[in-house]
Amino acid sequence: MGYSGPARTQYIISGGLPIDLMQARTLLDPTPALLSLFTDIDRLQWGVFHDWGNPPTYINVETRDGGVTGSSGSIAAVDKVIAVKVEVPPMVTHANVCALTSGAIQVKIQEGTVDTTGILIQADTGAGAVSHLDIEAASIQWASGVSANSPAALEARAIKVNTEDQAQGITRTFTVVVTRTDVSPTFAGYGGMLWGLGFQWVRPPLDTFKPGTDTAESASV
Amino acid sequence: MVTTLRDAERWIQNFNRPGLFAFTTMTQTALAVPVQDVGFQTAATSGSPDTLARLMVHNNKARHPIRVDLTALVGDSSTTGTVTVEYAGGSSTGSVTTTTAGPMASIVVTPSATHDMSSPNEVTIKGHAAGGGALIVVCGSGHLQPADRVDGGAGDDGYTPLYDIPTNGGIPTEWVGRGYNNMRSIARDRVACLATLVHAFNISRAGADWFTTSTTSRAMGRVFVMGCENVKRAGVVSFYMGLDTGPATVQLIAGPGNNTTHAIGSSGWIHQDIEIPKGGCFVTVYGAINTGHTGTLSLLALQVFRQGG
Repeated sequence: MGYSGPARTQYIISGGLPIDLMQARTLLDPTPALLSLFTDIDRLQWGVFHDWGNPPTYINVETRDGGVTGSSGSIAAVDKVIAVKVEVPPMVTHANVCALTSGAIQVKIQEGTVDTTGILIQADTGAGAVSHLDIEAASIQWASGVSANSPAALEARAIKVNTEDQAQGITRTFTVVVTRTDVSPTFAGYGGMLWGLGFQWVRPPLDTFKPGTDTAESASV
Repeated sequence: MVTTLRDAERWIQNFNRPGLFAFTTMTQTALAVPVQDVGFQTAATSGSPDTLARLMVHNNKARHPIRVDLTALVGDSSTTGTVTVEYAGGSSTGSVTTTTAGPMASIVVTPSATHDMSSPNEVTIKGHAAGGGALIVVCGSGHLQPADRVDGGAGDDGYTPLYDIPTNGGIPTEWVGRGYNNMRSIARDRVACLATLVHAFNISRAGADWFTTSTTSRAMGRVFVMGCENVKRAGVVSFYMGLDTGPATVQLIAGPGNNTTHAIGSSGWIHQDIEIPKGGCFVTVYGAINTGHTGTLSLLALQVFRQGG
């Protein structure tokens, strides 16, 4: 029995699924009908339609806040509204969103189709007159403090981007509102920059296999 | 189980459509100017359309079409704006006549059957307008759009459909090996983009942070690459530097251990392999005109990809 190529190894979540490191497999004839051979295929399929095939994405934005209006005693911040278009992968229901910002701004992000509530990211990095527009002073802020490495699949912390079990990907357009937060009635503030937005996809737990060619998920993982 | 794997693979072949790029064009004109610029704009005529953006796609040896979705508008109601997307020897257009920003119909471009896919291929987004007003592209994104395929043998990416399994018959050894190799082939050929930065190629923006005439190195752009999995990954950064005269020197810093310098004498793409740490990293481009010379250096596009192997 046996096959040429790399030895089969267990898929370990903490180690990632090394699809990029695998060599082609050539099974010799005869090969015993080991269930593990099918499980290997299933695991690779699982990997391809999850993080490997549809990893998180970051979009450069590079826009300042909307400035202020009024005069001393009535100065108020003005919203800056932009649009961002993102490809949402299949099976994704939510996105954890991060923003690369400098200065004192807040970023509200809404998706007009399935999530009109949106999320809010408030940041205060390099605020003031010196480095509020300096990309080298910018830092990443996650909505609700969600980590890049361990995104929690909590709806309260992520923006909804699709309905449950959506078998196909979809293009979503997000409305992004950038507003300065260091303004007062008598002080216009310095505001800041939104340099970019990152979207880390959140998928619901896998169900068992569902019949049909466009909703199949996984045989065993 | 066999039909489950077969159907799941068909679904993956159809719907595993990694994002190729995503951009918004509402960029600043200059750090000192609080008023924002709006979109990629052009009033070029049809005979000489402007190149608004250049992007890069890696691999795709299977020659899958790419789909580009744009939000755009025109400056006045008498104007028709036309967007042309070119990729790998193929070309397709879309038009817009609305004066408020809205989604255009998707533009799908199929690579030429004879185009060389062994090296990265550029996606060019061009625009022109008829009627006196301007075409304005506000934001956009793109992804691969594979067609359903259940037969036809091995593709150039190595993928061979599993649909030839006999009904109520034995399971060929070759079939089992193919199921394993197919996922590997798809994963390696469909290279996902992890980060995108694009600036308008047709508009000079003196004073902007991605634009320099200085001989002192400065940061010209930075993107954040999020951790994809819990191990480090091989990646590649493709970035386009504009340079009118020079020479210039560009430095790419991409997390710990990735610090490379590139001497350039003209505009063009640079591809640099990097190692993406497990937690992700910043990718920053620094640049300057060489001492003793004059010129204008600009960072016009930057994408980060996970290597397909």
